[in-house]
Amino acid sequence: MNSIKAVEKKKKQVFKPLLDNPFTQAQFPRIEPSIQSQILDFLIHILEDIGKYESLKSTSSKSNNKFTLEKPEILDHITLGFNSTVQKLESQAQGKPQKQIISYVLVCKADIQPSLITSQFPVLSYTASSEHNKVKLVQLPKGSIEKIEKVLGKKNGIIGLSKTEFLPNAFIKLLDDVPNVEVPWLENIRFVKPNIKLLETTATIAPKKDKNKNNKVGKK
Amino acid sequence: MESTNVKNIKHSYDLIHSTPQVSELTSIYNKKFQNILQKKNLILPNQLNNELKFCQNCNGLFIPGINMKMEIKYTKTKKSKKQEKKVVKKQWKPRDRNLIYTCLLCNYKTKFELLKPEKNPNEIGIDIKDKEPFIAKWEPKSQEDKKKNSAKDRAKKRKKNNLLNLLQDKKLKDEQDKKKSNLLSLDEFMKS
Repeated sequence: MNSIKAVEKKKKQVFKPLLDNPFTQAQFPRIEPSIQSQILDFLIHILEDIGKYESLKSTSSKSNNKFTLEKPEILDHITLGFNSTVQKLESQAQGKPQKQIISYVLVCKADIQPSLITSQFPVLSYTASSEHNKVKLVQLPKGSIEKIEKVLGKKNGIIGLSKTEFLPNAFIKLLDDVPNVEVPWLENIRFVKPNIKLLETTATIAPKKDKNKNNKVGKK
Repeated sequence: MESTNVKNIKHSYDLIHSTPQVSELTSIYNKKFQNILQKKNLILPNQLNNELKFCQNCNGLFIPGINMKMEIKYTKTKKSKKQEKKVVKKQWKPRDRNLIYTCLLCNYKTKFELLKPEKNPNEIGIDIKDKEPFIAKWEPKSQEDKKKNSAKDRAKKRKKNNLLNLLQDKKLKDEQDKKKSNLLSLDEFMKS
């Protein structure tokens, strides 16, 4: 008993400071799973037209009887796949003038392996967004890549959308409610001029000390 | 309380991120940070992996879109010979897939190997369920081809039916029979 008491006495309540490091890797904004599934339903409805168009296009190119197809209007406002969306976002970040500006990026984060592919997206979407157009990063629920594959016929985990009239209003509202990406260490980075001003005053003129004289005195 | 070593490492890590607009400063801070890690024999966790966050050549901090460009590239396939192309159709084979980060300051490229795709990404797997119209697949043989073939055959037959040719064929047959019989038949073996 004595030994246990001795251990209890040694312990003492201490408050340790816990500081969150603002410079860690940026993360995907949190979205509730019910809203995620709603967004996926809207997206699949949009992608159905594109899937049908592309499959018909491939059949027309193979067969001898070529027929003209009407291009779905949304195809000009959408990017499918990693390379095309990243290229658009990068050129947006560098401030190049563009016809189509991406404002929503939908990523199947849970389905894409390895996670290395999606790790840079939060910072990229932050750098691509301007004051007027904030790029919203939306993560889709697990298993959504297979649903998209059924509709499109291709495996596509990363989709970029621009704000257009062709998207339904309810879909735009849902996407706009998603919180912005936050990267604290990149906020407010601009070259600030050093704050230097000149004050006009007077100063006494101090006479210069002759080192030689002192030396001579010392020698004597 | 944290030891001074841990504090030192954390502070140097924060310093790298403090001046993202001046790339030279970040590279200097990063070098110091790497030196500390080397001295203490420490390995960073996977999320803060050295190759992922910093350029290996100029030690700069990667900021995608501004400082860094990323792309998925496939390795090129070898071109097959012309003869093979005519006979066999191109078969899709999985190619190596690499994620490449290019630093825009020094143009250094870092490579990460990814998984190979299982399916051909250019192929579209949707089947449209409309009824297919009936199309005759066989081709009727044209009469001109038939005539040509028959004329050739007839000419060959005429040549073969010459007396000289027939005699030569007979001789050849006889010789072949003799060769076979020499080896196998008992009677001829006894005669010899």
